[in-house]
Amino acid sequence: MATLYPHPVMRHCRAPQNYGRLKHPGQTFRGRNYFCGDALEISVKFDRRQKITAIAWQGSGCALTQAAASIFSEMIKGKTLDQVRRMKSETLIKQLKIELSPVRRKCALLPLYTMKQEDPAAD
Amino acid sequence: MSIGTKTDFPIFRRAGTPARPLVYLDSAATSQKPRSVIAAEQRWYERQNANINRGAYRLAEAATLSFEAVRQKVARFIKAPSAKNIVFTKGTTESINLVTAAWARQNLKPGDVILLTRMEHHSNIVPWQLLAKEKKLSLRFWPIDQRGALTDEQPDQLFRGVRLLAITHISNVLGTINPLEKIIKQAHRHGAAVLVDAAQSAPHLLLNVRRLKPDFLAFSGHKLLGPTGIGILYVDQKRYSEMRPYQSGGDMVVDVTQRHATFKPAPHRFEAGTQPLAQVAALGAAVDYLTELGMGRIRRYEQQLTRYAYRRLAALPAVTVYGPTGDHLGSARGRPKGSRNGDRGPLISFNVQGIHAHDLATWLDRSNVAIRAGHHCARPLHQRLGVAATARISFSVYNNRRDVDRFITALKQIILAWQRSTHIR
Repeated sequence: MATLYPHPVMRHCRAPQNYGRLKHPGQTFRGRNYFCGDALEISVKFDRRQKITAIAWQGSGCALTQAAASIFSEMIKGKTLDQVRRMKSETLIKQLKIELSPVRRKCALLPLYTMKQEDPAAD
Repeated sequence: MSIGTKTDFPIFRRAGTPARPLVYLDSAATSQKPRSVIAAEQRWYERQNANINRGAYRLAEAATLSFEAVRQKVARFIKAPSAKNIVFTKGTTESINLVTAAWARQNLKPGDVILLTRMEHHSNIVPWQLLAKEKKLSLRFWPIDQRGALTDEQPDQLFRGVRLLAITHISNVLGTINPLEKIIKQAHRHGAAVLVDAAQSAPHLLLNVRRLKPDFLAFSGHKLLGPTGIGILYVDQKRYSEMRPYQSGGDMVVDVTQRHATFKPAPHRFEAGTQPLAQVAALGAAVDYLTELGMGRIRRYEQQLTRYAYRRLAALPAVTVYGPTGDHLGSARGRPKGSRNGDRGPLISFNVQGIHAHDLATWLDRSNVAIRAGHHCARPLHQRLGVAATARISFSVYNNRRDVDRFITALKQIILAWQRSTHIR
């Protein structure tokens, strides 16, 4: 029981990046994990070329969701919404460096599916 | 067969090793099955299988008799006056939906009130929400206090306009045991019918419907050491005349012409189509198993185990336990007079400060400790508690103190590792 989750997950859940709320967001996305009721809110700002320049997220959730949201928020800066929505689940999962059960996979993918505006059950 | 041992339950040999035994603490979700229950289902298919209530051959007649014998057994198990009071369904959820469709839809009028409690499982909320929208009924929720007990309310106010009270016997999150005898009397005095969700109580204490006098009482086979796919609805004889058929089709009719059908009397009227025959046979074996152990003895044993677990859990720093407090746990002292609010069923929900219940469940699983994490299908209750999720341990006859000790040891290691991880950068 020396390590609970691999280092990247623990680091991001202990010191989450981009946590909070944007003052005048270009767009806000809300998602919910039906399995546990955890909720996530992601707001973003775009530049003239529709690229994401600022991002903030907040929500209650397990360490996996929190870490995934933090890592995800770093990954999507400079991308357009279309590019984000085309992102594959594995691209995010790979960053967590952890084997996930089908149920916990939905925790990790909540940020991505929140921006896709889709149900993670479809994964 | 002996209480607190796992020898009768094959899963414990398969899903664990001597060094890392399966510590199954999720019996409130579904119980494990003794060998006799598994064998009964297999025996049905190997020696008894034929459809009931039709074939005029010996195998089919024997099948019918053995099916009806289980109905009788279930009636005795909950002290029902007759086997006629017992309707087979596929679970508590279907039992409640049956009451919604067959009784409430026929008997409630726009403006009537259905009284629920804040501690109900979704299965005893959502069917009423749908019916309320359809029939323009209103829903009222009986609040709970800090200790997870129903609040003291003025009965005249609480029951004003109420035609039905749908209430859980034991909360699947808090463990609260509602003082049903008193509540049902009050409800009846105010002209309300009562549906009891006994999913969490039927496996753990002696149910006596002749004393409780509910109009309807629902529970599941699979939480009762029995198989999945079979549930029970007890109906008070006098309510049958107010009910319409629920599902319809074969086996529930006396005669059918091109435009008309006449129906069998209850309970068969409410059992359309071929029933889960093998599961009913296995349910009979589950009832036998519990009856042989003795429901009174089971209650006392599980109460002691729960009290022990509560003490160990509440002693850990950073742990919040929900529901009735330990001081009242099963002891007569300190219990408000005439109330059993301090009493608790064999389950404990809790949270560890800073750690989400899901992470806890994942980490405990590494020690082969199986607990439930989430909202336990009781979102309105969790909104009241002000948390998104809780972790829950729950017991059955095969659990013992060693299970509790293994759980506590694993939990302590997790809390320690979590506290150490604050320094990770």
